[in-house]
Amino acid sequence: MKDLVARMRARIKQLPHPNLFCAGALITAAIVLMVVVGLFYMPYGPTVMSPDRMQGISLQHLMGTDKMGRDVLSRVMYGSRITLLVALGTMIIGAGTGVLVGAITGYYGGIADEIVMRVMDVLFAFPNVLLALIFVSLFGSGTFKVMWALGISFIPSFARVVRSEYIRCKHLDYIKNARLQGVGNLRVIFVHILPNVSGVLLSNLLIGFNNAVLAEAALSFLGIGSQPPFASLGQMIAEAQAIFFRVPSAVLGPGFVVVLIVLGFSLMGEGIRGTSEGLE
Amino acid sequence: MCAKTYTSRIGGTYTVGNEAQSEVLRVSDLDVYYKDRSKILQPRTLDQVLYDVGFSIEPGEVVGLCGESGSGKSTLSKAICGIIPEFSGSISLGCERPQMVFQNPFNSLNPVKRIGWLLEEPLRVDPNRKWAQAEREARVLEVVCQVGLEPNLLERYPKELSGGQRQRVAIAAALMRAPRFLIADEPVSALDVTIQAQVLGLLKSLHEELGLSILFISHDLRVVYQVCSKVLIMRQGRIVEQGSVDAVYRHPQSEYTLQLLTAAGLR
Repeated sequence: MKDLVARMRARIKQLPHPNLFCAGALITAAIVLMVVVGLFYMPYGPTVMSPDRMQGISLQHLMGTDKMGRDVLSRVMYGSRITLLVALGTMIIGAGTGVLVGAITGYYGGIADEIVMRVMDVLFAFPNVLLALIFVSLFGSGTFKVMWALGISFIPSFARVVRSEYIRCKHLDYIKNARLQGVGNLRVIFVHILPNVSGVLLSNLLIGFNNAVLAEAALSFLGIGSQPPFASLGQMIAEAQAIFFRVPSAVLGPGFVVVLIVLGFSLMGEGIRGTSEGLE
Repeated sequence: MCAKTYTSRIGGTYTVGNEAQSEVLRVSDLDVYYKDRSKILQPRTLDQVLYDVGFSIEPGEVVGLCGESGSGKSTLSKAICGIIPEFSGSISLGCERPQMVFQNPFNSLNPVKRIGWLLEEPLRVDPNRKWAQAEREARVLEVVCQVGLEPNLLERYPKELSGGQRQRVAIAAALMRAPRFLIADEPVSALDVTIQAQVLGLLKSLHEELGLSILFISHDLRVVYQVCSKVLIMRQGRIVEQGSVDAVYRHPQSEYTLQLLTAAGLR
């Protein structure tokens, strides 16, 4: 355990900006802690209404209450769980498929590569949120549908980055050497090249995660995504904007958490940017 | 091991493991072409880069391959490894596909893998037999000693090694499956002079101990003189002269060889 901590510390020190990374990791850890605590304990139920409507910040309600008397802190704890879950799912779908598509097209090249990448270019030409809106209008709204919609709209950005890395790597001597040793194509793709791409991939994952959080919030703000009464951060902001001047805490609470989530991941991404060889 | 033959689209044959032949490598009437990649949706034309190349390597022979940049040395080595699709003529190997040692040891080792992992990899993908973990480790230790490296390097990453050590690792990786034939593509030109001498000494002793045949590609005639018994001189895709090192260096037949020797200060 002690050994592990020492090794982690040594690795973090090797990063281009260890301080930024640590700050980001701390913020993210705080958010994750809040979400994890929310799994077991919330001050009030996220959907429980009470007569104390539109309260400001007090000891009973740390972030005040909204216009239906629901505790904003509890709703934020629940809502950030949903937001993080959707962002995570989006990354798994988008980055997973994107890496697979980019790796295979970049490595093999040829006519299939051209066709797939032109399709990706078309997808890439639309903003993520707009593309997700199209999916949602086709397949209906809901938390998990939003996750799929965002996931698919994130594929091209990962596919492009990974593809260009693979095109760069496949001509390097050590990959040629591996091929000469008789290493099969799939093993070259996933065992020999993928770890070399991990640095670029990781910082893209962090940026992508941010975009997913923002996109989810934006979609919820527009009223698709997680449906009331269940909370999501964007939807809480949308609901509370009507009472912004009477109870600013109802908007600022969830807004603040969105900012913190994005800030945490941005700082971590900034901290590792420039490591070409990844986190070995 | 049975012989396998591949035929290229324009009639060249590439044979691996042909035990009927006494030579390690026999190349005859080899013409190599590159596809013109600039044209899309048009019939691709072929650019010829090697013309009528023919030579052979006997078991235990070290053959130097010399010539200026662009003379086709690397193309020839690729063709011998069987990674060029367009050729005619025949390439016949009396053994497995050759392993290669590249010029720049800073590019030829995967930077994210430990040395031990890199050395085990040829055994993990060995098509002829399955190696158990313990067998692999034993074999790695054996080869590491052969090339004169410390076993404690196995836990390190390539970037923690010097150029000479890296080139030794590259040679070790090529030797893992105990090949009979090795291609060394300018193996010392990226190293400084003292390290060059060490690596050349290593190649020489491996040749003597293991009876390895080596095709030694170099533009440096002095280095070739040190390690090779036979030499091929290439120019513009053709072999302009071949023979024993002594004969060629003392009595060069072609004008071009004479120029090279003069340029190297050997005449």
